[in-house]
Amino acid sequence: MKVKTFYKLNTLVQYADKIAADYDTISFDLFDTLLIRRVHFPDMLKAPVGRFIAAKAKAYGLFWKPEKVHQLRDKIEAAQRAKTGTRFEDHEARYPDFMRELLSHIFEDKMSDKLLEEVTDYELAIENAMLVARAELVDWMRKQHQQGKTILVVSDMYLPSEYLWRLVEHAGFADVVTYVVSSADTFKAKASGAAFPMLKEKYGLKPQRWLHIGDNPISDGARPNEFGIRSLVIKDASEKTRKLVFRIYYGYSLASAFWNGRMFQQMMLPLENENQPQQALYHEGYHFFAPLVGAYVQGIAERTRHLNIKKVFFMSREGWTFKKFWELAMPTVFPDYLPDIEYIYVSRMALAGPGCAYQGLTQTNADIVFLAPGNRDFRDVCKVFNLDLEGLTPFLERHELNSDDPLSPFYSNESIKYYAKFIDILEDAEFQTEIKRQTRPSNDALQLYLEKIGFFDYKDVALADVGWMGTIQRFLYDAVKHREDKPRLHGFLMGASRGIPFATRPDNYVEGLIFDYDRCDFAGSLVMYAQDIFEEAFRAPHSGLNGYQLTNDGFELMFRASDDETGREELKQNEYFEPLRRGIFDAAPRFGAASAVTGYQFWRLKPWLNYLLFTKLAFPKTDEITTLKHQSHLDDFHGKNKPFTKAFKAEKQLWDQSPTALRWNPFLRLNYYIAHALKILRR
Amino acid sequence: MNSRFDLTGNEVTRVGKYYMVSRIAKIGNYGGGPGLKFLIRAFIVHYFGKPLGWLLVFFEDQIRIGLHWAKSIKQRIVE
Repeated sequence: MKVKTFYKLNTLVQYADKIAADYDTISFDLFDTLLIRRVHFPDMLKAPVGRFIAAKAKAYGLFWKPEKVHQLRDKIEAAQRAKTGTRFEDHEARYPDFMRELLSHIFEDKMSDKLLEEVTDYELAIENAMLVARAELVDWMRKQHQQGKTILVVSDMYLPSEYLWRLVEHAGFADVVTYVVSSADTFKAKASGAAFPMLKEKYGLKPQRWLHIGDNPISDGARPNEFGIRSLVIKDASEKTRKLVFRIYYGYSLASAFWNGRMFQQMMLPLENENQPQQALYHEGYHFFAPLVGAYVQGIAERTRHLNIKKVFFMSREGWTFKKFWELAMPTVFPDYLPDIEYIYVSRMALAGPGCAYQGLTQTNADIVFLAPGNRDFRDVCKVFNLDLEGLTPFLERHELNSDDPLSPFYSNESIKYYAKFIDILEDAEFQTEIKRQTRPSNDALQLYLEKIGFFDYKDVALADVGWMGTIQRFLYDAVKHREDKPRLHGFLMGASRGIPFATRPDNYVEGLIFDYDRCDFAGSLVMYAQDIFEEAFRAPHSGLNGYQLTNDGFELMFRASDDETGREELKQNEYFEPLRRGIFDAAPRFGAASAVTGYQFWRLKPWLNYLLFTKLAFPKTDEITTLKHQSHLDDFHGKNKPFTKAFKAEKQLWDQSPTALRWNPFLRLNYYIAHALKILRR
Repeated sequence: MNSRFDLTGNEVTRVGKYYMVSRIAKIGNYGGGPGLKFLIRAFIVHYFGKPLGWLLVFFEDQIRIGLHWAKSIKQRIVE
């Protein structure tokens, strides 16, 4: 019977379904039939394994370049294939054998079974991350299994069947497969046709009742056909196109830095059953926020590895998303070593008070309060630093300042007069003593919390936060800097706007990874177009922290109430952004896999990330703004007063424009873009 | 992924729009930008890739033979 070739998977499945009654054994090819790879060229997956082996070797003081490992692997594999070819018709290789030989060559006397196991596990993890089951075919296979048919998976592959089982299990159809057979087990492959008589013999199969499905016209078509097995060949045009697209981007990525990130995202795309109809917010999470978060956490991982930092604290509440993304992606990217990670409950409101317990209230810290236009007077200072106004009233009276006198320039042209009095108060030693007395208990509670989470157990710790001025880290440093055992604080922000210059010291600094004002990165500065969106998108699904309180048996974290109107609004907002977060987390493992396979470092992705910021923030579609625009942005720090003087002109940002203006003003985005460029260049 | 194997919400046409704007205000690290030639190819492969893929699959053997001939002819000319 002639081999039948299909150009669409569904037509093959329909045909196979029609003739299935005549067969009680169905065998499938594995790669490019039941499983497809995200990449166009399978050998791309050898590169991360080469890097893994090189990293392992480095840990033993052996210096091997990943490319050299890769070359040696190919050489050993080719030699083994040639050797097998002298004894068998097929020139097959067996992974455990050539990998053992490779590792023995590299590690010499340090080679062990454990090492081989680790390398194998990583190779299979990368394969698993890059393989996707063909949903339609697997469903049909499941149906055939339910009808009591024997299901075989037969592959010409260097991985023995025990390893192929692991791939099949990960792909989710191990329960319907009766046998998995690899050419690496017996060196009898489908390519020569030797596999089929061997299978017939071993499992007692009848060729006339046996249907084989695969993608290779020779191995899966002609060879089984010669042996009397009915064979169907799939040459999937759609799959060919997908690979063609990937191949094009892969070629571009070699030639132009711009396309690196685009190829990376092509590799991350959801395939088959992963690719389901989703809400617009999910797509924003998957295609826009996930690459940014991924690059940011990878940037942290790279910096911490380089600086030998052993602990990363992800600061609440945005750190919740970063930590989760890290857990899903980074172990694949850096399988050899990663610092410990922990989520730390902090906030500006919670740390502002404890930061004054030893140094008092400094002018710089007080000025931070008045950066927010909603803060007006001394009452707002008390609110932010959690101070008791009554206890401080004598000092206000001493310096002839009322608690409601405007200190912010946004509220009165005479604010400078009151502000001068406020400075006098800050210089009053007794006032500072009272401040320290009032804030000391919260600082003591903070110390207990930090001790509990092991903050002081490390010499260096990294602090990760979305941005923007590093205020949380500034207050945290103020709260702990009196301690001998304080760690050096390395702050890694997603965007560092540096509205107030950060008091950089060797033991306390911040660095913006996606954007840092100090680095004159214009494209990265586009992240400042819609800062609130990032905060809301990454926010943890728990209330904000208000402070730390001493209790009889230690300390307590005081969270903001979530049952008031603002709390309920925030909850509603969190629910609204749920699909967006789902998109981010669905993309995380694929980001990790793509990063491992490409070996791209953070800087390789930066041009494409800049393009994403350009297209999604500076030139967004109207629908994107209406979808992403926050419904409720809660920030107790910002205060609730309304500035009324001409000193405060609320500049309407692009993202604050009405949908009508966004839709019908053709130059609106360009005007804003040029204005932003001029503003950044002037600064 | 959309039906053209492109990023949903950030299709190749959008890279084209970026390319146009970048002609006017070209500031920032964009790795040299997409390049018109690459952009056109990407557009073709996304928008006309399906018939192309079908042709490549349907005439796979003929293409392979053709390429083999072309290679040997080229080699003969070089020699």
